[in-house]
Amino acid sequence: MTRSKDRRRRSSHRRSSRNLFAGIRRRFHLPDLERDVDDELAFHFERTVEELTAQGLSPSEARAEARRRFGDESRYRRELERLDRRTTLLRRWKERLAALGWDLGYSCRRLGRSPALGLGVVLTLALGLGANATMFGILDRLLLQPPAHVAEPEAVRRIAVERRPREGFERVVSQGMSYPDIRDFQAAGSFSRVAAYTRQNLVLGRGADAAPVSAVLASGEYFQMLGVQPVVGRLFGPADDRAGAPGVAVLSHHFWQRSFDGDRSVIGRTVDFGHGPYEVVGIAPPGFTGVDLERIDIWLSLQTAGQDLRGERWREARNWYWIYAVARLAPGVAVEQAEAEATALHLIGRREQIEAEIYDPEAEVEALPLITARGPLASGESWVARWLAGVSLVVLLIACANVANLLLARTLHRRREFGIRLALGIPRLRLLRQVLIESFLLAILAGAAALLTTRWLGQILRTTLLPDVAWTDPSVTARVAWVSLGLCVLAGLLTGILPGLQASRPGLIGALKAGAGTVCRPGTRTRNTLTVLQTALSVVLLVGAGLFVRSLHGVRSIDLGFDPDGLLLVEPVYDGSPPDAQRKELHRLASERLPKVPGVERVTSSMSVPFWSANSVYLEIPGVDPIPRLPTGTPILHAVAPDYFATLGLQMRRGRPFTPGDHDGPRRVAVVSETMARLVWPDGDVLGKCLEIAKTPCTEVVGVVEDAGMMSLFESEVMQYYIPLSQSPSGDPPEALLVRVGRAGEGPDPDTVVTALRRELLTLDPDLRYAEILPLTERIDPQARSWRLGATLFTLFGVLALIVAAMGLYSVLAFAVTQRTQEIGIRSALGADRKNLVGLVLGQALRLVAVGVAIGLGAVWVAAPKLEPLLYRTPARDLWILGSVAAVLLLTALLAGSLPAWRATRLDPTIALRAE
Amino acid sequence: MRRNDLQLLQGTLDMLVLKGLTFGPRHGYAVARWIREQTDGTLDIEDGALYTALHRMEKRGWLASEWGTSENNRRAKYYALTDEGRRQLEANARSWRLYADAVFQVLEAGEAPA
Repeated sequence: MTRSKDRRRRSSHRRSSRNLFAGIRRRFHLPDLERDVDDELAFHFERTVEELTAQGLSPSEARAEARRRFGDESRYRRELERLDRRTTLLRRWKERLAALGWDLGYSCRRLGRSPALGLGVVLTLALGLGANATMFGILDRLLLQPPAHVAEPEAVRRIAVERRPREGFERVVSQGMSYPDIRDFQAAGSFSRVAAYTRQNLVLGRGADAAPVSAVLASGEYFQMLGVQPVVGRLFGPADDRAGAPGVAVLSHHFWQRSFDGDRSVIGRTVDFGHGPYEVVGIAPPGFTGVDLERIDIWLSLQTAGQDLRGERWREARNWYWIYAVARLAPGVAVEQAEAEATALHLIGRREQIEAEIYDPEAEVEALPLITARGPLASGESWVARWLAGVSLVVLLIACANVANLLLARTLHRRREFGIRLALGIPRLRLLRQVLIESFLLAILAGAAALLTTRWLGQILRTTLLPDVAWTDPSVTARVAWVSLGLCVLAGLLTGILPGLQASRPGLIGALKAGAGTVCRPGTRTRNTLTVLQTALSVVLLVGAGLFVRSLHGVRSIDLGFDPDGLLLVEPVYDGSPPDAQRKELHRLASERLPKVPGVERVTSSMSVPFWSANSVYLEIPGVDPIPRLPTGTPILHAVAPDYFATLGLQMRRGRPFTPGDHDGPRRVAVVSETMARLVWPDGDVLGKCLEIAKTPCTEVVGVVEDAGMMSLFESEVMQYYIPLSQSPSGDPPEALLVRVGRAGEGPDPDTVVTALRRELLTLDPDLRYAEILPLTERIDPQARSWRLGATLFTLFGVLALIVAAMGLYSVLAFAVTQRTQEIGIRSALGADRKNLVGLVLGQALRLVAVGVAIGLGAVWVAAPKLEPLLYRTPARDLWILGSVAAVLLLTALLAGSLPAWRATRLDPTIALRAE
Repeated sequence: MRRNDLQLLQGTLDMLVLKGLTFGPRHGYAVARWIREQTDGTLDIEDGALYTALHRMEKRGWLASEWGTSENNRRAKYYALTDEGRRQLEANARSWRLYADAVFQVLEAGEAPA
């Protein structure tokens, strides 16, 4: 038995050495087990042998009999040790769980006793966590997850061509291509399937039942290539999509539910867009939006729909860049390899144009990732969303700093309690854990609150800021919940670790000996540092907000020449394709009748409509050769109905607008835009000059009108000229009506006007099925969306950060005043007046914030240039913005400090001096 | 006791051990000796199996153990019934009695009516 005694000594020595890490060590070693089994069996054998010798057996016989009675000793010994090990582990877990339960209960009781603080902490953290949950949800959709229901999405690539649109231009990457280009790619062995698709807005039904739908014309390979499965019926394939075959359609799940109440008998029925029937063959799975993220209602077979909607030439026309290609890489083929093969095929297909020098011979085909935001075609919104995700992390960081500060203050208040517990021998780890449990509890509560708010607030935010994305998932998905949980744990750790370390400092035992008014004020520096950090981060966010707000303002104040607010775009939708004369007649009737609709001020129509369509024709100008070229291309021709300039609100710069005589008479007249006048006739001698439009005889320039925005808010200069509609060289009818109604908020309700307009228009021609009416601002606004997104969320987050930082500062100052009660008492007893005391507190506030502002501005100065590409004509180091933010924060410091300062002056010196 | 009998009788062994502890805390040797005396050695239970039963029931929480000093002043591990152990003993004994009665009824039955 010497062996076991020896062990016993060692273990007792081990037990006596108590330190911080003993607990951790115990967790991994199960000492004394073997020894215990040894001792127990040794005892058993001794007693058995004693008993047997007493019965008259010799010692050796007794030992043999005892062993026989016991059975296979080594086997049993192993079994006993195994059982003991599990018993010990089980018991340990139970103990730990019980301790945890006790701590948890203790934390709950403590929080229950100071509900205001608990609520403050939960709200603060919930702001940070909610911001992150929302932004992660958005980023997950835009950047992390491929479009729903696509099988092996990494092998699906978007085909794009990088080329110079014209000699001397920058290379651009574009997905738009012609159908023959896609046929070229289908020959590539690097792709297992190549599909073609294009978006198109259509109108389903007619008259009062008519409804606009968002359609995709998809080739037969489309669904097979994506590997998607239908929920009802089948998806069309190459066998359906043949030239001359009857049209087939697949409905999106959403559209099926909305318009057909999920009725399965819709399969086999036909839908009509005014171009012959399309048979519905199947329903796509819920959430399927194809390769893009926009909501789609219906997919139509390309061969039939192309014919119906684009006429005969769509299959051959190489100069129509209207359709997109997506392809699945053949197994084992690398992206570069596929790009090389596709480029070679593309240049062969484009040989004629290259030889005619109208196509870039250095065009390169690129196979881009399916997730657009990961490739060069990433939208401005997706870039801003990335920044905002970072910003939401900063908000969380600020919230954490603030909460850490609050909890730290409370820990300091509780110094005596912790001191007593340390003195009673409660391990430091247990105290640290106690504080961490509290912070985790708060973080989890905050996380739950954050997810609840995200469920509706996040939904509102994402649908208003990114309305093009089909947000089919709820705003809190499992992924969002997991990420939020991770952030909760992080927040719990960040907010609990400093107070926890503070609470478990052995020096706290000293706190027992002295009152709170001792000279030493532990934690003050940590708290000040946290305040400075919050201030600095708030500065960064507010500067970001300032930059985006300024950009948005800049974008909003871009002068389009006309006021888009109150301008409606009206596009008549026909059954089939009526003759041009019928269309022209409709526009003529409309210009007579629509102005009588209440709320309508002016009506005109045009071929080439701003932000809608642009046409140009062959143009010669006698004496000017060549006509100057702009990056925006050749001059754009507008064939306009009477009242065009007045309806849009374009001012004449020189000469005159069109007269009724111009519209009816034989004299050919034109009005040119300012830019065109300046570039074509630099000497200013414009009026009376001659334009030869589409090889027609001379058209006389009678006026110069101000420049009008054409296709983009950000285009540099566009040359435009206008002729009366009656003189249009092609004789084509106008494409849309433009209706000026009162500005938003003035006159009759816009919806009423739209309904009345549509009703009136539909009476004018029995062949009309519908009239698409939308405010022109809806065509323009998406171009400003990334700035709006940035400005809204940066401001929202920035203001949140400011509030949180102000609360943090207030709590630091209020606590400082409490802590310095004695000092303040002495000061006022010595004759310090109110001014001195106010200065004392506000001075501290301003010092802290000034340091934070300095650090924040420094960070902005370094980091802001990275933000500059996302801004609109706003320098990232805009001194005005930097100055305002600094001023706002200093003002906040004064506000946050005023209450504690006031309280300091109210302290009664005699009471203050007696304070502990 | 042969190895293949072990499973069949494990529940029974547990019950015997629990019963042996109803008179107060005992160490393993005392339990083994008590069972042997009560059965006159009819049940040739290996002591190892008995200790296994003790440790297993300790793990399940039917027994609690404590190191103490034996009659002759040696360190020994004492086992005591827990409330859960007492409940288990009652439940096992009840079902064992029902089972045994049923078996005896069959064995002692007269000729079955034709």
